[in-house]
Amino acid sequence: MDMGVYMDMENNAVNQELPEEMAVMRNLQGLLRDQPTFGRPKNEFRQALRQRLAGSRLFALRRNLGAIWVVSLSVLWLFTAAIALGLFIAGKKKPSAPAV
Amino acid sequence: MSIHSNKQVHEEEHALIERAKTEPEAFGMLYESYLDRIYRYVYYRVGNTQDAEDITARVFFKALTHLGSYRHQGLPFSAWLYRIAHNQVANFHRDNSRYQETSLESLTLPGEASRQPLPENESADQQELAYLLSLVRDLPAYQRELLILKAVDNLSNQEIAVIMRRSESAIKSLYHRVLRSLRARMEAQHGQRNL
Repeated sequence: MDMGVYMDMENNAVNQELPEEMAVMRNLQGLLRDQPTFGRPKNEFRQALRQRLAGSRLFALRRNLGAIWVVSLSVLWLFTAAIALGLFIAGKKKPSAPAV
Repeated sequence: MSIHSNKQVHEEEHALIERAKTEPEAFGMLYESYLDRIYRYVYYRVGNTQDAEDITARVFFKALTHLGSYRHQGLPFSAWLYRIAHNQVANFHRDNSRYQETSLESLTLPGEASRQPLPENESADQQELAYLLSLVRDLPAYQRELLILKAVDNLSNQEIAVIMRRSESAIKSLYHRVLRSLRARMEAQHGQRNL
């Protein structure tokens, strides 16, 4: 069987005969999907994990990210302005006369 | 599903992901959509409920933590989640000296649990399935992972390529090769039984 036929099968071409390899795959699917635990996490686990995820602080943090960003920038700007002002005042101050 | 509606589904999911970054309800919807699939994948790779639950929880917490940096790149969100699960399972196996990759050993054949005597033709089928299972157990870990992603999770080659960090064509040819080899060995076994 060439790869072209196989790829057609992958795309579920209509009326295409299934390649023999797919029979193996169907058996395997049946085998794995017939397992008693197939795909069903316990309900208690499902609920508990959902609650733990919903209680994460990350949601609130991301929601307030804009505000946190603005406050941080403001603080940074004020700090820079204060330093600049301090340097400016220090520069303006006349040096005291040297002691004779 | 048409290309148009497929695109619409992707867009809806993308919008949901954006909301899920800040809204627990939206994240809960994503969680409900993918929990079973991720759990199943993890379960078949670790082989017991306790570890499967632990790793599944870690996958979703990791997803929540990194959702802020998630960028939609045209691939389904599931591929991103499976990739996280793949890494978590790899970490689990690395951290556990008992390297029990893809624990198919715990699986049972249909009807095996009831221990009922089977009709003759069904017994032959059972033998074939048992042989198939033994062949799959003998495959290298990455080939078993590929079969699980295909057989259990029905993922596309493109998604599997993202999860396993290989090219799509490599996945296509590997899948083809594995199935062909399984088939050939099944036929050889069948031939031996008919001798």
